[in-house]
Amino acid sequence: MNKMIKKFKDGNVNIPSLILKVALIWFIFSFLIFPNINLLINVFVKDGQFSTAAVSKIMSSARAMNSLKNSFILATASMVTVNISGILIVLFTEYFDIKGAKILSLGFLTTLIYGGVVLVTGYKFVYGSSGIVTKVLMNFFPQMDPNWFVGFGAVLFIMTFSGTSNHMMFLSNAIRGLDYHTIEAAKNMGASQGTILFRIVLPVLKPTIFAITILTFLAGLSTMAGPLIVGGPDFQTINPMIKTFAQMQNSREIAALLAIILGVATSILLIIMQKVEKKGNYISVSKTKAKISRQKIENPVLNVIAHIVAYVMFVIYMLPVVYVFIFSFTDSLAIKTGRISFSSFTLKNYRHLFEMPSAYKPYLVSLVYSIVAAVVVAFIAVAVARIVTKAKNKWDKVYEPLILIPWLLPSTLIAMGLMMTYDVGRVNLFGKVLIGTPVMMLFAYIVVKIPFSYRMIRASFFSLDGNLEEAAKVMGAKPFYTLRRVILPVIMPVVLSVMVLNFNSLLSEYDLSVFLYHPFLQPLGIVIKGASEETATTEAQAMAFVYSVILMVISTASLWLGRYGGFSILKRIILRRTKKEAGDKE
Amino acid sequence: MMKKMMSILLAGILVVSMTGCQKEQKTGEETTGMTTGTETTVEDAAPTESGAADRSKELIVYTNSGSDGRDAWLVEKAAEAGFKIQVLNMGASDLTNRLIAEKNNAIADVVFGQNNIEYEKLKKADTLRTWKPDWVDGVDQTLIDADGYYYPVTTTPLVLICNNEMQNPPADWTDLVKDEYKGLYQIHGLDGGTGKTVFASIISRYTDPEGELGISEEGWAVARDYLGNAHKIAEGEDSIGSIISGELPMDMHWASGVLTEQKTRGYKFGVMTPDVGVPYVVESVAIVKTTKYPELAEEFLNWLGSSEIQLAWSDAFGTIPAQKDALENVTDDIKELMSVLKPQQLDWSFIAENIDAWVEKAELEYVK
Repeated sequence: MNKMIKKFKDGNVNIPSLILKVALIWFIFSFLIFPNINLLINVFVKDGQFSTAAVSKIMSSARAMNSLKNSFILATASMVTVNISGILIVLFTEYFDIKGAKILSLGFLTTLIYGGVVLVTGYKFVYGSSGIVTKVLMNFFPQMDPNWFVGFGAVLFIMTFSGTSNHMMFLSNAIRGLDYHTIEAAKNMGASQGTILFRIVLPVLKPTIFAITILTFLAGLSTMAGPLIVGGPDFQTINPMIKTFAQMQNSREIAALLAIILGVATSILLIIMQKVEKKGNYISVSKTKAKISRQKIENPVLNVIAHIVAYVMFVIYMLPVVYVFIFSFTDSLAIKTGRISFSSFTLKNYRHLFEMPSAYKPYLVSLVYSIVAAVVVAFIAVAVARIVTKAKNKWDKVYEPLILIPWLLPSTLIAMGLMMTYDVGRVNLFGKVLIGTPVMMLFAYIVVKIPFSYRMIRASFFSLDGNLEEAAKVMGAKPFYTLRRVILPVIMPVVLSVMVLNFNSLLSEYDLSVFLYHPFLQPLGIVIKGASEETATTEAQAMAFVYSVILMVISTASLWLGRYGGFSILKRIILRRTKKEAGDKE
Repeated sequence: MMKKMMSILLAGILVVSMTGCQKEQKTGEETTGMTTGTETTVEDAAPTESGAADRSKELIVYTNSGSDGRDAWLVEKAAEAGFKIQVLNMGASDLTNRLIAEKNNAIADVVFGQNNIEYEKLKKADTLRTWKPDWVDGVDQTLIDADGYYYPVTTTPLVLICNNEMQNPPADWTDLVKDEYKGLYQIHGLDGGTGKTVFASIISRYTDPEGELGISEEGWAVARDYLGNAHKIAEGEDSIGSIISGELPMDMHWASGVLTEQKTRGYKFGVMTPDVGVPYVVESVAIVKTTKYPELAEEFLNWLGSSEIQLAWSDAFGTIPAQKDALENVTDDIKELMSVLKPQQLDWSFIAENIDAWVEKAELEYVK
């Protein structure tokens, strides 16, 4: 304590950073720790007794154990396959000189604009019993089962080609940040292309690949739509079960326990990764980085193979999205059966959407919520990543495990926790009741996106050259100035990518929203789900496709704005216009 | 240049995030302010002795029957009758969970469309209030909640439909456990209303106070075979198509959906008509306990449940009205289907009390 006072007197305490830390602690406690602990207590303590009934229930359930096993198998397998396809597509579009790389990358980016049930249904249109691929294969192998696209293989196939969004976003960034001098130096020393790739390029990308691997593992554990639609009876995973139990009032302990099992596995992986990560990272220390230029593959055979693989992958990526687009113009019978005839084409679905009174409103609501949440999350993630990577004492390190808490619980339970906790005024929120207010859902959106954002942004801090910061400090720059003018420009591409991904995934969020949305501010996810419910009449399923196509348009726009320099292009156009107008006036 | 742009952008983002935050918070306060505001006016608007409620107030309706433009239809027709309503549509169990969680600060005034199982849960959680509609004499008295919390507006029989060329179709749900039907019938997941209700209607036949969760050993054996031998419909699967093709010739379906499917596919299904009857899901209306406008809510539900509106609702969306007057005037195909069906007698409060535990056991042990 005396030390603290002395520090204060000496002016050694950084007041803004102290305020920031206190604010973060308040936020983490109020939204990440307290509601979730409160929920777990509520779930496991019954009549004042700690209940372990859930443990024996799960242990004696063959289905639960099988599903858990399948989830782990899928997560581990997809960790490998998604990394292979992800690294390949990034190398094809950013590193190697492949003809038509720009068009290829458009195809590989499609996973960023759609997902979930619609994506898997798209794959089913292509590979299902009446899909084009099945029809072609049947010509060659008339004996084969038209329902071949089912089970573990099918799920893993879909995961492999749809789980590469993070590679396209973050690994591309990392490759663009490579210092070309290092590659040229190696070339001059006579290194082969293979040596350069495996000994120079990939090691520098390691922190990013690690971060993405964790995300892929998590995605594999919690995947939902894939197993539900094409898993068949033999390959069901645990997440649908968790969701079913989370929705049943008296079975939430089972859901929580299953989620905790997944959480523990995730934590173990995180710890291992952290350990390996510490073993050494390579960064270029050159003061003037050179921009990377694409490498032509010298071996002609390999070059041809690379081109073939790249274009086959392009087709795999594009087919489902094209099918979703086509089917959005058909009636729901065509969607259900997967068969199209000329008479099934209709514009009715789109007309229906635009005829609905105030059809635009849910878009507006989701847009505002998603933008605000994406921005706030980015801010928090940058702040915490900065504190943790610059940790001066052990307390600063504590932020990291705390901020990853939302990874351990499914969204349904996070929503429940917030509702159970803030349905009465609490001291830490100054007695305000959150339930039934529009901010409730915003907080939930922020909470669920924090772990992912933090993990990606922290990985980008590794590529920072400490010397830059030191130089700024020596020249008398204040910490905030250093952050703004030196650090942020370096990590900005990653921050923007994180924001775009968060924005896109929050646009049609359902699991949290259904519990927390304000009646006057209905978000898009609720409207979409309402249009495609079990008992909804037949036209409903067609509507889900129409909504998806419109979401694709919005997501593409956000991707372009946030990542492909859309803002600066817009700005240039506007500037040119105003200049021209000014010129005209003269 | 690029770096400078980026830092300007981020500075901008920071500013936006601050103001964004503040703005959001403000709307929050505004809304809470608004609710307190209306609270004070409630007392002024309290109905006079003559009974007419102030219709300028807006009612919030929670429903699970709002998809396919049904919500918009409801808002429009209500406005014509002079009611200002806002309709929130969500799934049945989401609706129940939300209402229970919002107990201390409920947004809704009335609930429309939930079934008995959900209402019994809501009743138990003390979220509803008792009342009595003026149309109560027009509906089948056996469908009415004895405690007077919720009243029926539509009924949805759940039936087993099969391929019309099927030889020797089952006569009752319990026949499905026989070996000859193994792997040939489709069921919906137990997390949805249809699958859950049919399951409940089967195992609640085997009550045994001594048995596990109130069900006899025989009952659990039936449950095991019924769930274990079934083909569980996957999301997006064309279950109706499989009936017609004969690949999986049997499937459970809600009656109004059967009629629409017959029309879209140009096919006539075989419908199973067991002697004990089939489970009728009854969709009811109720008033939320914490509503600020109980008189207005009652007036609105009197309008909504009336046979005139229920007939219009049926003509627009193919539902089966609970009002006997309305049922006499529905379309011919509804009449034809209803003439062969009768409701199975079910102990809804027993089912509601135990259904979650049954489903939990089934999901853990029997579902494949």
